[in-house]
Amino acid sequence: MSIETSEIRHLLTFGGMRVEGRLAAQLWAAFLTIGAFLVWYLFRADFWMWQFIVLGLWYAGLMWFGIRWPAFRILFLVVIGIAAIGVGLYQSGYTAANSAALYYVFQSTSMFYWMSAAILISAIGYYRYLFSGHQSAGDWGHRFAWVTVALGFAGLAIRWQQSYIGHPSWGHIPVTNMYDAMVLLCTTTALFYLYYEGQGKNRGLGAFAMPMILVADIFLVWVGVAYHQNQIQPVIPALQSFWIKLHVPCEFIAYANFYLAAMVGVAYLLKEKAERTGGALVSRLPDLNKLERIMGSMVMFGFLFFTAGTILGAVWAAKAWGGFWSWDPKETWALIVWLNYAAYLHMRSNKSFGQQHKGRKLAWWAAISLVTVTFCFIGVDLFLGGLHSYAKL
Amino acid sequence: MLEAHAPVYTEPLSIRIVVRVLGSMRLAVHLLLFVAIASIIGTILPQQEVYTDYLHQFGPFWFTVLGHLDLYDVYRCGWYMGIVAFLITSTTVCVLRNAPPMVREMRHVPSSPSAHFLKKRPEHFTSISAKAHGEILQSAVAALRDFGYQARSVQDTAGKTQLFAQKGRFYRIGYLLTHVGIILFCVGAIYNANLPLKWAEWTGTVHPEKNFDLPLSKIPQSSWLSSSSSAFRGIITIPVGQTVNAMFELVGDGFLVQHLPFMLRLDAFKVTHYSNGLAKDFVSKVSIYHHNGKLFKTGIVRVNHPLSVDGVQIYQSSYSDSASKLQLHNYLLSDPGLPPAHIVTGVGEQLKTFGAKYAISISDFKTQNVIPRKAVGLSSGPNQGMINMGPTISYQVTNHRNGMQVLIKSYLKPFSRNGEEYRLIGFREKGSTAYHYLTIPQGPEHGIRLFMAYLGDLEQAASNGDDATKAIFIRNLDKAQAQTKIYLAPQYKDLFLQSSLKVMQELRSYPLPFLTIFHHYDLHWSAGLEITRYPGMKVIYTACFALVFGIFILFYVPRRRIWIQIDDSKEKKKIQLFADTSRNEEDFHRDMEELNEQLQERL
Repeated sequence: MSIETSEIRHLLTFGGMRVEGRLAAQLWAAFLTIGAFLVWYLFRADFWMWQFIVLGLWYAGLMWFGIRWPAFRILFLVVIGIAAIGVGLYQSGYTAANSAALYYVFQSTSMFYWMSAAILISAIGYYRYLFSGHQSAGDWGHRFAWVTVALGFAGLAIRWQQSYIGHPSWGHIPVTNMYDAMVLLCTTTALFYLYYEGQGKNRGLGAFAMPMILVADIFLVWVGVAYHQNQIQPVIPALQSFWIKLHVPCEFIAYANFYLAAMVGVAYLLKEKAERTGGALVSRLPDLNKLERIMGSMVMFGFLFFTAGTILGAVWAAKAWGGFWSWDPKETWALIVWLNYAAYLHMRSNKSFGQQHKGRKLAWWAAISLVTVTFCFIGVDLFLGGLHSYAKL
Repeated sequence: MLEAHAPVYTEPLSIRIVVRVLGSMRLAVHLLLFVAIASIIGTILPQQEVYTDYLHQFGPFWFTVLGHLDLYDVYRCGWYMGIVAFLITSTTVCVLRNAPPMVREMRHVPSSPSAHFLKKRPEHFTSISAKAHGEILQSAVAALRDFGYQARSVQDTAGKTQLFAQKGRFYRIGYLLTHVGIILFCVGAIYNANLPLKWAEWTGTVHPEKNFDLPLSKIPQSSWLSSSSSAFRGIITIPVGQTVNAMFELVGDGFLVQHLPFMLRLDAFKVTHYSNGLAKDFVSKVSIYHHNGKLFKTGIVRVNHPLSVDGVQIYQSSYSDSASKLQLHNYLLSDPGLPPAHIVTGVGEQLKTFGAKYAISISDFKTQNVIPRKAVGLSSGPNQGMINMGPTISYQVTNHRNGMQVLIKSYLKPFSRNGEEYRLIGFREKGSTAYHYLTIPQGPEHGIRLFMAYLGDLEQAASNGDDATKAIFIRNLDKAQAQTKIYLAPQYKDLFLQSSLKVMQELRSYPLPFLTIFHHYDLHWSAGLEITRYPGMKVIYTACFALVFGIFILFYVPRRRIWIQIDDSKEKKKIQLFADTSRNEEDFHRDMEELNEQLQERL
């Protein structure tokens, strides 16, 4: 299948798959359909127009991902399985104080520590593969990247359940402080990395993606330890909105793709250098054209979600703050990021720019954009404050 | 990108050059980056603050320089708007130039193109077959169908039937929707920005008032805006029970008064809390009246749940205490047995005590106050490191003789420790950072009357020369109970005694000769409401939808065209396959190779 997710035929039909593949896809569709109805049935008292729309979006998104990417189906089931154990323990009245299973494994904070360990192992594995060529090291990196994703999403699901433990009125989706946000970033980025790895059939990029996730993870652990943000607190009135469930996931899908694009940019530059000077990297990374296309498709996918997420944020702001757009630092930086990638995509798509070294220019651009995105994501909260300052430390 | 059309120029050269430059991609990229960089300024320099703060921060010279550059309100100033307008002009020119050929291209199917056009397609495969023309056509149609293409037969110039197939014919809608969406978005934003008002400000017919202390009735008419303004966004703070018909809009270093199209009464305001004392919701109950006094609508305004009235949106923005009545009890430490003096006061008020030697000014009043459990000697468990101490006042005491200042926090609600209830008073001298806490034991009756009486009796006993023995302590506690007629349960007596002695120890470092207890309060809130009228929202939402949908089509719906030409001039027929795509050539090339193989198998 293609790197650029470009063909409607591939998106919407099962065409071209082998018979057993088609059967699995049909099972997936049936599973999701039943699941969607079950969700509606269990929570039908709370359903109104937008809940239907959100459920529809999730249904379509999961369906698309699962059909395009068979491994995602297994991941989904594993996440549900792990989360079910944790949620079940909490539902049956256990807490971390009287259950060793919760204390050591299934409470969200413990699970995030296990996830951190997985990230570390995965990063080392990929790194070893890139520089010494051990195929098995790369395979281990790959396996632990999957563990990272499974533990991260399961942990977030359990955390959502945990937020109801303090008091039923506290319950909220766990994306409301820096700690939660970093977990989401780590897992989403790892998930998208694995997707692109599957597409490119090459383990070399993991040595760029996983160490970057490791940095985010170290920040996550630090925020938890130094600022006690791993403790669950109820959310302030401004965040008690349905829109958070749309706005935040969109933004994180975008951030994950932008970060990955930046790392592919770095890989591109190193590979180009290795081609000129000679080096082991040449054989362990995809060729330059492919790297450029992977990078471009990441930016495109990120850009689509960033646009949607920012607009959803503005719609929410119109409800919460009285204005669609208030030139709040976070909003302004979102605009800056958006303009930056808009310019990037214009340059990439157009042939009126010099074709010489275009890939290198784009790679530099994507890599440097990492700074802009990071500032928008974390820097604004740390240094500038403003209306989004509930994410402040 | 587009196929060349023979240009027919009707405009003079200079206009053509301007149009070409304005619509060029290069300019667009540079402008996008330029707007991005210019936008950074306003995030580094806090916008629309009080001008004296800027003056204080930058000094007179830089204050003036930055002021002339309009950096205190960058996003609404002339030069920034100018760049954005330039970007929009460029986008508009680009759309105007590209849209007509794109629309033509989508409407017109290039079904029987010239041989020259076909030669220039990037994909080109040739096969040979001896089958009949019709049979070849059938095989080709079947092969195309396997790849998801709907083939259609077309007549070439010689009247022969050939094949054409395409996917993503309307892919140009992606470009059109995104770019038109951006333009529409800006149109909506300009509509919301109330241009006539900007013009009036600029020409000087409307004057922002700079004096923030002026009462509403004294504000000159040139600072008032009519209620028929097409768009507005302002704030107003209303005490509970009051009615307003105007609000304020900040403009530069001054403000304008906006007449509201209705009268608004704040009927009630409520803050709800989580079980741990953090705020959960702010709720205002409002009534909307016509100007003739007739009730129009009542409603609830909550955070994230604005109230909509006739195209005007009302938002819960902030809240504050407005003259809540606070009752204090003031005990003299020099004569603790005396009944306390009753004081009624409010936030911001100043009172004198102790023969005008001390001034007390009430600085803050909160109904909820969350502090670390450790601060009051309670153990903290997981997820409960904090305790909600309830209503609290903060006040500052100044000693006029020596200038010493003490900051004090007094809590209304007692807290419970080992079954005994305590009153909490925190104090710190100005300059030190940590509060010291007095934890005064309460009797069964609300208040510290028993403790104060006990303190008085002990002082009396000490001056009588009694020894500090346990018997004396117990005797005096009994005496204090008899005096105040507040009797402790026997099992608490010992605890009370010990806690009292501990407080007396702590009192030695207490710097004031009196103890002020927070006794009672009557709440009076004001709610800060934000009121907006944005008539351009529908345009903006439409534009946003167009933008996202357009991006999706732009990225993920390529146009792919395939032509199959059969040349049967010879016995062995030559079959040529031509194809092109609008993006992702590599994958397309792979697909076309496969298609060609399939085609050859069928021939």
